[in-house]
Order: sequence, then structure tokens, then C-alpha cells
Amino acid sequence: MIEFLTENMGAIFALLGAALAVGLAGAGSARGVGVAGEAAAGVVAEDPTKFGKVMVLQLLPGTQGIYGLIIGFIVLSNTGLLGSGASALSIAKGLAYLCACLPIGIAGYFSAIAQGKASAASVGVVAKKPDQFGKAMIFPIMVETYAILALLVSILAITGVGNLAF
Amino acid sequence: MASLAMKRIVICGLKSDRKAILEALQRLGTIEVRNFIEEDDVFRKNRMPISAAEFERGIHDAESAIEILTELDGEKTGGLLSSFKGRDVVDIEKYDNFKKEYLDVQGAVTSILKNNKEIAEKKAEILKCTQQIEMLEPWKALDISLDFRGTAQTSAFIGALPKEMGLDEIYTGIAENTSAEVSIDIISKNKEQTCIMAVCGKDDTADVTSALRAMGFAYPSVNTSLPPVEEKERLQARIAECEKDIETLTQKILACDDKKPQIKFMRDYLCIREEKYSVINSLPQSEHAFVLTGYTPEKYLPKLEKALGKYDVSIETEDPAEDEDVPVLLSNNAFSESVQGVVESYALPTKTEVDPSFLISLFYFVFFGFMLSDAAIGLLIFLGALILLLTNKNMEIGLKRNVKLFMFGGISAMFWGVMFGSYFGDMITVVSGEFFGKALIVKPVWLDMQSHPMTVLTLALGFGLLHIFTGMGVAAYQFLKQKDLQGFLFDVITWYVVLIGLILKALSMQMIMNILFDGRSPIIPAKVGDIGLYAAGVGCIVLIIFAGRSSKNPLKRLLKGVYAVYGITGYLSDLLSYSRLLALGLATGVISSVANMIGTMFGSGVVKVIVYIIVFIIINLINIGINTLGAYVHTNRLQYVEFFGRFYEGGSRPFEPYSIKTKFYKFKETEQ
Repeated sequence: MIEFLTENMGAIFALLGAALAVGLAGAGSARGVGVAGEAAAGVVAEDPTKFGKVMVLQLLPGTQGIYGLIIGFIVLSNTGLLGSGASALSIAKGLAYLCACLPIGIAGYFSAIAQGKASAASVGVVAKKPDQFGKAMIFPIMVETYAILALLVSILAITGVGNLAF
Repeated sequence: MASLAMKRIVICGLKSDRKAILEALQRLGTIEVRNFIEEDDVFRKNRMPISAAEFERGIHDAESAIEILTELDGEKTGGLLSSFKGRDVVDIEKYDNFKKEYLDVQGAVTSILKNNKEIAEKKAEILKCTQQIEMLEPWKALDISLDFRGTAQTSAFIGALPKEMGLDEIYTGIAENTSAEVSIDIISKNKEQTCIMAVCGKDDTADVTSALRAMGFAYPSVNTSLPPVEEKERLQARIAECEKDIETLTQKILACDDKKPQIKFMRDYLCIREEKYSVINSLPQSEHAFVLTGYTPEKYLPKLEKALGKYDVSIETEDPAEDEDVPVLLSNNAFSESVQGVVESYALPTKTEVDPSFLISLFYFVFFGFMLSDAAIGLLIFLGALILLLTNKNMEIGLKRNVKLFMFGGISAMFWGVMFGSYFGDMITVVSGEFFGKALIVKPVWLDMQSHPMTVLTLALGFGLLHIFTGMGVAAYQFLKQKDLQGFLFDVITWYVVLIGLILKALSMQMIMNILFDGRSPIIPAKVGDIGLYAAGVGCIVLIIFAGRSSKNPLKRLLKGVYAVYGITGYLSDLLSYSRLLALGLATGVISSVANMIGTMFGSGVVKVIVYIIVFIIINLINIGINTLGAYVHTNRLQYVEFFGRFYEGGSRPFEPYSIKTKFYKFKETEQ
């Protein structure tokens, strides 16, 4: 048992990290896109010509899920869990990968929901003043900054962990 | 390269030339009509007899007729590609000659609307007949008319009781209320009702009526003297007749289908005239002359003078007053105008601000391409935009600019893709390795983003610094232009000193070098770094003293100054915001790589190829969609927040010329 754990625990931790990155960020995006989509559908019901604009706004909170996917993918590919050459992963390294995944998981989840709400409000702007689309787009984008910062730190951390010797 | 200089213009002409002059001006479309002149005893507005409502009704009728025709002839109006097409181009002569056709086309519109109304009436009648047939359904076993009320000696009651009842139940129910002899026949029954025919002696009519009423008896609501079966046949015949009529009417409408282009033209024609008359109504006129006032860009003045040369007019121009609400029209070179839409959707520059389009165009494509940074995707976007531009010559100008924006963005993405060695991620390596046996490694021209993220981050922040400093430079220029020397010194130059000082200090520290430059030794000597730090310190003191100079209260002024120094954090967060260049740039390549990896996981031989192609196409389509959108909105954000934040507020009114505003046709530009 102990032997099994020491041999595989590293990989399991890394996998858990990838799962959290993709799962949490994806769940957040799903909620965010959902909230924005409800508002968007209401506008399209009134005026179908605004479909293009409100769809862009609805899509904005969807990016966190993609960032999560990117991190999940990089972890899986760096640890060899994708493809054939699964090299043994130390527990410390596996835990380090897990930690590196947390920023995008956590920030992705909450920022996507918050961004969804901002998007829904911006959909309201477009409903009343379609020519203010440029400005309406900026409010949700403000929220996204924090997901991008989290993505950045996750990427840098994973690259760093990959270079570690233990 | 800027917002065009606007002039106030006053045109005075003879009333006899009024129509011709106004038409010429409308075709030029270079004047925004604004009334500067008060009405007085000599010059007053006089209303034309033809009213705006009349035009509006004509436009509405034409639009309805077009809608009806389109619905019947099944012409496809929607579709993604058709929205790029733009309006058809026609000669201006067509407008002049349209008067002859006008009555004819108007006749077609009237007949279409009339026939359509008749179709609606027929459809309503069919509906009514169908409902009646449904109501007759329970009575079809009856072979006499529903309004049969009896013979000389008897009274008959044909109607329904409000629930399902047996014969016994009905007899009992009647017996409770009257002792009269009644004969009941049940014609049909279902859950909701029982249809009966009751017959009694003439003398008992009143008794039986009240007895039946007590049970909820009601006469059927069908009004006919025919027996149900015959009535049903009559109704069916009527429906068939109506359907035939609808068919004939539809054919009649479709016979006008070849007039559709003319009807569309009529709609535009009426719109043009509506605008012309609304201008005429707003003009102050005397007995023989009229005055038209407004704004016009200085650049278009010669063209305007030439166009009006053949009339007896006086054209005077003057510079608008300082506090006037002058409209703004941007004009840029072919390259920079592609970002004009980005500026316009934020706000138009005020009088003291420069048009940022040119500067934005310098940075926009660098950032856009950086965030995509895939050569293959860049090529696809470039080709897509190019094909759209080449195949749709009449594309509307605003849309054309946006398509051009993506075309240039595609070129930039190709450049960065080659620099970072990304062609649908690692597609070339994967495909050659998996399907041709020998993996080709494509070397990036500069470096691989995924394995050297810190270096790319440093570059991204470097671009950010340049962007922010450029914005500050524009602010400095604007302060100088307004001769606000204090603003120039304390709001821009001091900040330059503080920021550059801090950067010098940072670049002289090994710790910063370790993070940003792979641990190379500092490029700035420690001594210079220290000088930078002192300079920054002095700059901060200057800020504390002068940044709050608008306040008289010394304490308030000091606090404002301290708060201004706190603004350093704002610069830092703005700078870090540019890290999105790296993050989004990585995203595109990684998602394509995901496609390559998943696509080669399953099957072998031909199956593997097919699976790969399907996975590749689906994931990359999503990838292009999401990341192009991402690159677009995030580049916009960097311009709006980080760049505009330094110098730009905007808020001017757009130039709204008196011009030809059409929906279906565009007039060929005529050389005046």
C-alpha cells in the first residue's frame, strides 16, 4: 500500500490539480455564460437584430473555462499523463502541480460568475442603447483581468515546477 | 489623420433655385444643417403643404409591400454572407427619372397591400368556417335544421345540456319541474355535453322551456336553416372557395414581383425626399430668398462651392466659437481608418483632444496578433477578410473598416505565429510524426512561447510600457496645445521622471533581472539605478506639492498630492494588465495542440486520419471563434482603459450630414 502510494501519489495529485483547474473554471464559466445568456435571450425576444451583439457579451464569461482547459492540458502533458511516457512523479512535484493549478481554478470560478453578472448588465445597456456596445463590452472585460492574472501565475508556476529537480 | 476642421457655413440663395440647390447639397452630403438664425419679420420658416406623415406612410407602405413580396417569393434575405454585400449602386439619373415611374409603382404597392388585406380577410373566414364545422360535429346525426322550433301542434327544442346524461336522467330531471308530456331524443353525447331534441305539445311550451332551462339547456350557437350535414357541406364549399381566392390573390401579388426593385427604390426615394422636405421646412425664408446654415468640414468646401457654382448663391464661412457644440468627423489614411470604428465606439474626440486613430492603429495590430500568435489561424483570418473585401465591392464603409481591421490583425498574427513557431499549435510536428513516420520539428524564428513564458512576458510588459508612455506623450502634447504649462510639467513630465527613475532602479537590481531576464546581470549600473531612485523621489515630492494645485486649501492640496503619488499603483496595475498578451497568446496555440493530441489518440490507419481531421476541424473552429473574439475585445480594452486612460475622454457629437440616406440602393459618386 505504502509502496503504491509513494509510486503513484505524485501523479494523482497532479491529476487532481488538472481536474480542479478544468472543473472549477469550467463550472464558473457555465454559470457566468448561463446568467448572461438569460439576459441575452430576453433582449433577442424583443429585438432579434441585436443577436450578434448580445451573443458576444454572453461569450465573454466563457473564457475562464478555456483558461482552465489550458492549464489542465499543460499539466497533463508535462507530467506525461497524456500519451504514453508517464514518468514517475514524486509526491512533492505532484503537490506542486496541484498548487500551481489552484489560481486559475479558484479565480476562474469566481471571476466567471462575477463576469457573467456584469455581462448580463451590459446586455441591458445594449438593449437600451445599441450604439454604446463598445463601452458595454468593457465592463465584463474588467472582471476578466483577474482570471488572466490567475492564468498567468498558473502557467508560470507550472513551467517553474517542470524545471524543479525533485 | 485627425478630426476634420469644421466651419460654420451660411448659404444664401434664391428661392427659385431652392429645390435644385437642396438636391445638390443632399447629394454632396457634406453639410450638417443647424439653424443659427432666429426667425424675424422678413425671414421665417414656411411649412410645405406636403407633410412628413405622408412620406412616412408612403415609406411604411413600401416596406410592407416589400415584406409581403419577400414572404411570398421566398427570396433569401438573411444569411451571414449577404450582410457583407452592401447596397446596389445605381445612377443618380434613376432618381431624376423616377417621377415618371412613381405612379405606376405606387399603384403596384396599393394593389399588393389591398390584395394582402383581402387574403387576410379570406383567411379569417376560413378560420370561422372551420370553427363552425367543429361546432356542427355533435349534430351531424340530426336530419332537420338546427333552428327547427316545432310544427303547428308541437314545440321542438334542439340544444345541449351541459354534461353527459342518460335518457332516464333527463326524463327525471324534467319531471321534477313539470308534469308535461315530453319526448326526448339524444342526438349525441360526450363528456362536456349531451345534445338532445325535445318535443312537446304546443300548450306546454312555457313549462318545458323553464324545466329545460333549470337543467342548463342551451340552444346551439350555430346560426343556419340547413340540416347540419348540408350546412357542413356548404361551409366546406365556402372554405374551398376562399382557398381558391387566396391562391388567385397570391398570384396577383406575385405578378407584381418584378416591380420589387422599383418598390425598394421607391422606399429610398421617399426617404430622400422626406429628409429634403424636413430641411426645407426648417429654413428661414423671405419672399425671394432662403438661408441655410450649418456646419461643414473645411476640406469639402471647394467641392461644395463647385457644386453650387452654377446658381446665384452667397456662401460664407467662419470658424465656430470656442464654446460651440461642433460636430466631429474623423478622417484617416487607408491603414489607420480600420481602427476608426474602435475609436468611434468609445467616443469622438473633443475639440482639445487629438484623434487617436493613427496612434491606436500602430499598437492595435501588434497586440491583436500577439494575442492570437498562430501563423495558420492568422492566415485563415487574413484570407477570409481579404475574400470578403474582394467579393463585396459595395460593402458599407463602416463594415469595410472592421473587415480590414481583421485582415491587418490576421497579418500580424501570422508574423507572431512565425516568431513563436505556432502553426495550429504543433500541427506540423504531430501530423508528420503520426501519419508520415518522421516528425518534423518547426523551429520558431524567435523562441517557443510555452517553454519561455517569462521572456515573452517581459516583452509583453515592454510593449505595455511603450503604449502607456505614448499615451502620456499625447497628454503632454494636448497640454502644450492648450498652453497649460503646469499640466504639462506636473501631470506628465513629473510622472515620466518618477516612472523612468523607478524603472532604472528596477533594472539595476539582480532580483528583478532574475525574474524578467532569465537571471542575466543587471543592464543598468547600480549607480545609475540609485540616481534613478533619487530622481523618482524628487518627482514624488513635486507631485505631493503640485498635483493638488487646483485646491486652495493647503491641507486639501497636500492630501491630494499624496493621493496622486499613490497613483503609482495605478501605473503598476495598468502595466501588469499587458500580461494578457502572453496569456491569450498561449491560449490559441495550446488549444490547437489539444486538438492535435486528442485527434491522434484513437484508431489507426484510415480511421485515425478521419478522426484526426474531424477533431481538428471542430476544435480549431471553436478556437478561432473564441480567440479572435478574445483578441479583439482585449485589444480594445488595452486601448480604452490603459491607453485612453492617460489622455482621452472624448464625448463630441458625431457629424450628421444632410445627405442621401437609403436602405436598398446607393448612388454612384458623381464628379461635380
